[in-house]
Amino acid sequence: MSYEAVIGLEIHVQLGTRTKIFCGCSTAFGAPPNEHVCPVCSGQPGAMPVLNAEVVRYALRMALACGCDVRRDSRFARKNYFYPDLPKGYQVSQHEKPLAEGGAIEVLHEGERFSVRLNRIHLEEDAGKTTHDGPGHTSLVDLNRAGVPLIEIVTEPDLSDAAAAAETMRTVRGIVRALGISDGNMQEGSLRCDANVSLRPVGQRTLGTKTEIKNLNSFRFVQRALEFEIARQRALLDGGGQVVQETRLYDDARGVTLSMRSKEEAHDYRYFPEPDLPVLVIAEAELAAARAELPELPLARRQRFIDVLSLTDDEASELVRERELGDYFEAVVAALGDADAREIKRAANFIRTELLSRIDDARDAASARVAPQRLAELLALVRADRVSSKLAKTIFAKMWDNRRSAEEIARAEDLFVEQDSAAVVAEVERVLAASPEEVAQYRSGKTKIIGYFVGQVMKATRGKAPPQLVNQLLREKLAGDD
Amino acid sequence: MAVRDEIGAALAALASGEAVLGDALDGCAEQIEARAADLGVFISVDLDGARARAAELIERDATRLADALPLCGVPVAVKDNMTLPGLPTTCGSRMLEGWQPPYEATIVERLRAAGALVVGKTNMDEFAMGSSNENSAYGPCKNPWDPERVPGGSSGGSAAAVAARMALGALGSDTGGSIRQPAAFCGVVGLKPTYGRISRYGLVAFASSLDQPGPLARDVKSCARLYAVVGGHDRRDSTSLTHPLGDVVAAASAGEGAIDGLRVGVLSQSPVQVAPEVASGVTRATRALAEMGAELHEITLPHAEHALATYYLICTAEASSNLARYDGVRYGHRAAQANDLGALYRQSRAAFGDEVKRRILLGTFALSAGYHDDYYLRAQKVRTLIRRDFEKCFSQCDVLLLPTTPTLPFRRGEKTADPVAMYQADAFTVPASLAGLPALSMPCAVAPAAPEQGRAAPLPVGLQLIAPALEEARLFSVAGALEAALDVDVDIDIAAGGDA
Amino acid sequence: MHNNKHVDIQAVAQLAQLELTEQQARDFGAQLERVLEAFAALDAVNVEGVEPTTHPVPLPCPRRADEVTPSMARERLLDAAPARDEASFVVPRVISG
Ligand SMILES: [Mg+2]
Ligand SMILES: [Zn+2]
Repeated sequence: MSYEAVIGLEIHVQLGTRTKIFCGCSTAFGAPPNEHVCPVCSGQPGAMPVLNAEVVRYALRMALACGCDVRRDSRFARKNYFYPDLPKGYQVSQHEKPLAEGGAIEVLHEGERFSVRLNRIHLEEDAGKTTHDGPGHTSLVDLNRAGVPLIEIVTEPDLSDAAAAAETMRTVRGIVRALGISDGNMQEGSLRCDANVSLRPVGQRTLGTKTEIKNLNSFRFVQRALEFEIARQRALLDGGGQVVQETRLYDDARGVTLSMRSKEEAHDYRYFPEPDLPVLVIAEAELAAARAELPELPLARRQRFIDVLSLTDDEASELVRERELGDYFEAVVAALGDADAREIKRAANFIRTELLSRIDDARDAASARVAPQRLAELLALVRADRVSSKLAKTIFAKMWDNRRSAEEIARAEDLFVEQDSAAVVAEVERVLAASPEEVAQYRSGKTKIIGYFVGQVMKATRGKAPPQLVNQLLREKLAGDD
Repeated sequence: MAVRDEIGAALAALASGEAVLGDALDGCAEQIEARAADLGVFISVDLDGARARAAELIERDATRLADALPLCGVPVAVKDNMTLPGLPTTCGSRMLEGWQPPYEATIVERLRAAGALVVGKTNMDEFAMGSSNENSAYGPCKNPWDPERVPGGSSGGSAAAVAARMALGALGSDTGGSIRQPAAFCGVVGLKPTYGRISRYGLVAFASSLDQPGPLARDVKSCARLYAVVGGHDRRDSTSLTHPLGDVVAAASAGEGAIDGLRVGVLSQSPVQVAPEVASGVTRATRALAEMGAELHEITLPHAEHALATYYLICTAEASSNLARYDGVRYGHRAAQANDLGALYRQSRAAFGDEVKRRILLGTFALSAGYHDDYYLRAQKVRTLIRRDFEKCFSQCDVLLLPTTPTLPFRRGEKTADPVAMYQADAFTVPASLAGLPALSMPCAVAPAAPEQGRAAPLPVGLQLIAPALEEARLFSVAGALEAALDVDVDIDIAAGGDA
Repeated sequence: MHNNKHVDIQAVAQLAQLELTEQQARDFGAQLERVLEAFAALDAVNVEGVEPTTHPVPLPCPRRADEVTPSMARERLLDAAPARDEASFVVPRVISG
């Protein structure tokens, strides 16, 4: 039988606020264990939570960016379970009345655009960290992460393959970065997800039994774990077996998902409204303000680059990958004044090749050694035919190294296009005179050899001769002059 | 008749130079040294700390401070579920034995800033769960009127400390009656304010949607003085109300004028049986109000009969969650020999006493899958109906008057075997808790000793006044007038009560 | 509504991480059932369309500015712990994830 997979994601995003969700402890990553801990986030008896205003602002931004319905009276709830990294014995989350419901994330995958509907977005606190390498068969508990703000984005089961799920995660990263609410860094755990997956015969509407793969913390793991799990379930069903509803973990070293059933006790979270936090009321004005500060999302920007700036799909996709890179590109275009499509494309390509090869992370475009204004000056020289495109690259490299302007470098190093046409004519004549054999070949019909002459002329002028003029002169001389 | 005001008198004596700062403390210290240990009033006593603080204040010019600091040199006792760095906070539990809190409760901070001298942390039912103070891991607290009897709970130590003159005032906490019921049993005045009036930051949680700290004192005006200091908004408690308190100290001495035309609601039908001594005490107070010009209205609280069940389902549900943090990992008791995580939890949590375990079990059950809607959620809905009952009452009257407790203080051990019988002791106090309303208990009579009925000593009778939310000032004005009119002699014959 | 008053006390104890001896399980189980029986009258209350009360005095959740305040001294935090190492709380080893 042929099956289709049905995948839903529960995505956790750490919000990039300065302090934790319910206390003033720092959220800085990488501190020594238990440095950023206070009575509130260590669950000391009698300590009480106070909500961080910025957390609400950030979450609202995400909710609005995804077109969710924002609830005007959402509630916090306690999710009760015991674990050493959960200091209070419950996680403050939202349950019955989450901050936002509905909405969707638009994903572009293999050239196709689709939307993954959202069930909800809610606020919650992160747990601490337990490491299992303590001396003498112990585990160690670090509470620095306990209380770091999270939004949990729960999708509807709209995905049907592993690669699309991974792409959805990439899209979420792009959105949260564009919104400036998280760095979306999967390595540091600021973006992670649980994946629910089940199979059903193609054409069937009801869902099969699902498993939940916990804590996937890289795009690659999302894809591989789902690929494995889908294959595992298919083999089970094909063999006449049944999928057991359970929680599984992905083991990357072995490339398999493993059942956590053995250690999992029947979970009964006993949710109830958090009595220490009143109703989270969102006023109309607050919503309007959040809406007003929404930036353009990556996919919309990409479409605009294609429609308005005439970039290709690939060019646009690459430039919107990080907000900072797109901003850089737009700043260059703006500084160029009314650039035509060819010049815009030149700018795009320059950034994709010359800039990106010089920075580790596209986000570093924001602090690149050559500012957008400076790059625009260089491209303006190309536009005015004062510098060749080829030499522009050389000049850019020097700008990168010594931070001088394109104009200064070109002047100091004598890299402007040769404006004296008599000199170019002389050079063309010299090259033709030196290559009688090639001239004969050309005249016998092998006109492709003109490239050879161009190369010789350019070499002799150190690239400064205007290529159009060289071409034109060569053709005239080779055609007319017997 | 002069308005009773012990704390005010102590402040005046200090300001006029009639007394020196420390005199009041000396008097209390004497009582503490003589009887506190026998009666089991405190879990930790800190007379040295109180004296040191007194010396500090004296250095800063005592007479001037008496005008500036509203509780200058006033000895107070603090219930042992409020954090006060320097002393352990045990909550009456082995689980927190020796726990040194790393921060100070807002209410304790305010008390100390007002010049109060904290003499110690008072005994209580473990994690405030109980109505008799028999559930303390540090031994029971006894009623100073008759040491064979309970002082009420869970703030039994705070009420006993005030009754036995070991402090001029005390802080307690009230979840379902834990200030009012011991106040009634010990013959003192106790206020449970509107939920949110006094910060819970630093009050170790029992049931968060019900817990409310409050003051106890021997007279209404002294009680108001304490409330004026510890009450008011606190940013560290997200459920803290921002509304101003009003001049509650002045309200306490408003006099008879406050009663004229006052609409007083009395229950036409009691949800539980009431002892005759209690009933007659309350009737006496009702009559006194009528004589001062109050209009009496018979009212009903149709859902009051369900208040106990509602209360116990909600408070235990919240408690089961609040007490999950006691797992032996970050602080408190930890079982020595636990070699896996489950064992660590279960063996460490064995340090809870039986009543705490009982309530955690009930609350866990009430929230668990399959039972949540029928128990916890249903109770929360009935809670709404109880709130509406009160709203309706308060459209017809200004205050409600009812007993604080159905009985006189009972004997130790009398109800320990039967949780249901014990829970009945809260029948009159839980409705206001569920609705978050301010309620005050004050003495309205003293039942004389009656050896033929097994009463070796006189015992106090409490009455309860309930007002709409935020109307603490109204409670104080009515209670002040009533106190003057009833003139109940609540001075215990300390010598006689001594060695029973 | 609550036809079945029998409570699986050990299952509840497991959820609450409490260990009960057989005797305790019998005693607590019986007491719990008695309490629930005494509370059974609640079943008869008509709560249709009634909103639950989650906070007795309704007010909107206050919010604070996103400003760092000092954390606890780590020594103070860890010293209160019954078991610690250099920088962390110590628990018996947790088997995977
Ligand atoms: Mg979650
Ligand atoms: Zn903190």
